[in-house]
Amino acid sequence: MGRKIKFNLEGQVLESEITKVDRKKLYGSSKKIVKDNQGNECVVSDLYQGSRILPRGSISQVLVDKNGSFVKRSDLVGFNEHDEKVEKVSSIFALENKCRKIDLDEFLSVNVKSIYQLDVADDQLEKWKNLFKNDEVYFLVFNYREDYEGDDAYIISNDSGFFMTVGKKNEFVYLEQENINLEEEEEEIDDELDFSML
Amino acid sequence: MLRYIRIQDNNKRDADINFKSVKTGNLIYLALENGEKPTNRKVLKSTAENNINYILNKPEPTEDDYANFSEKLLKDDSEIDFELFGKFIGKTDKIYTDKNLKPVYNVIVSEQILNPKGELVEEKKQKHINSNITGEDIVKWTGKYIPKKKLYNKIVLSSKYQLKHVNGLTFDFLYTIAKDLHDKESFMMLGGGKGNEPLVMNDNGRPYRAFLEGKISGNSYCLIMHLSNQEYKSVV
Repeated sequence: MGRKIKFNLEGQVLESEITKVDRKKLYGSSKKIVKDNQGNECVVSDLYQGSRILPRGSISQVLVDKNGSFVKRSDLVGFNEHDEKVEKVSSIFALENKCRKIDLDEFLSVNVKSIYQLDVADDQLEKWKNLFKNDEVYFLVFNYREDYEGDDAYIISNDSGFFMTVGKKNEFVYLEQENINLEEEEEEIDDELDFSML
Repeated sequence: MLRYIRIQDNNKRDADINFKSVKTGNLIYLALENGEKPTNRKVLKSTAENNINYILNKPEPTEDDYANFSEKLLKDDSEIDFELFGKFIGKTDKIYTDKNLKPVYNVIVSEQILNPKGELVEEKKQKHINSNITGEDIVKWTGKYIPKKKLYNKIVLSSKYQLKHVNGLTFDFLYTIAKDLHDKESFMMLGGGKGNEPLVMNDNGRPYRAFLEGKISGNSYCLIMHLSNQEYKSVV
């Protein structure tokens, strides 16, 4: 049995386990296969300085300080934008998570990182349904493990059940006629996911 | 690089406009107690000559081979290159190699399609997929208004791109679209090809369904294109 999370939905405390909704489990996936002329599968390796072949797993990422000494990740602490130290944000499993109702527009602004399904026990199902009768969306801070920064999470419901959307909310800028910017900028296209629905 | 998209309005008029991803980064950064930010470096920890298969040099090693291998490791330290191990390295190139780590120059690329259980459905030749949002392609206004309250819990609107005008004429063009969607409190479903295909933002990129959201405030507007490739569905 999984661990339960306590949600305080504007005063009403309810519990649920969560299951990550993996897109592959809904639609399947695709995998690129590369073979040589004889039909043998190839692997991707690194070529260092044009001559030395490094098999997968030959390179590690490490953190170093200004003297070039190795730094352990556990030695790092969190700082905010004013360069002030911040406290760690607890794991959602470790506390009663305060959830507050928010406007739909805030929910729609979120860049989504992951989706969790709430596995609500039968004896609590009616209580949950009552809290979502009018298309409510609840916000909470989400941290799977204790860390220095939590994500924004939103609980919603539909005919299929209750879901928690985890990501980062955005503040959109309204543009006026004089807001024209034709300067070159680095643009990143988020293009990691497959599509086989609709 | 400035990115352009050619988009249509409800009168089937089209215009080339800018778009940019909207993404709030982390608000917290990690550093040492004294505030110093460490840097990320790549370090070498192994080479082809030091991996287990190369040292064993047998396609199907026996238990005795592995036992002797331990002895060899203790005696020769052949798993470590003292000159290279721990060396900071910069950029490396990616190449295809065979299982013996020899470079392969001519490769055949295919795509395996797996079902939700991870079972192979089919293997087919990988096709080149062209982007369909600019140039001769027009992102079509499908005419399908979907109220925000009906869509928000059906489709995962995962990434956001803000559409931006490039001159006075396109300001009017986009403001009118935004006002229409604002007044109707609805998304407009956008389509590629003849209007029923998903959008492909980059050549060989993944296809996404796109939904346009519009808001206005006084003389300003905000047009956000949401991309989606997943529904809110139970996996249990």
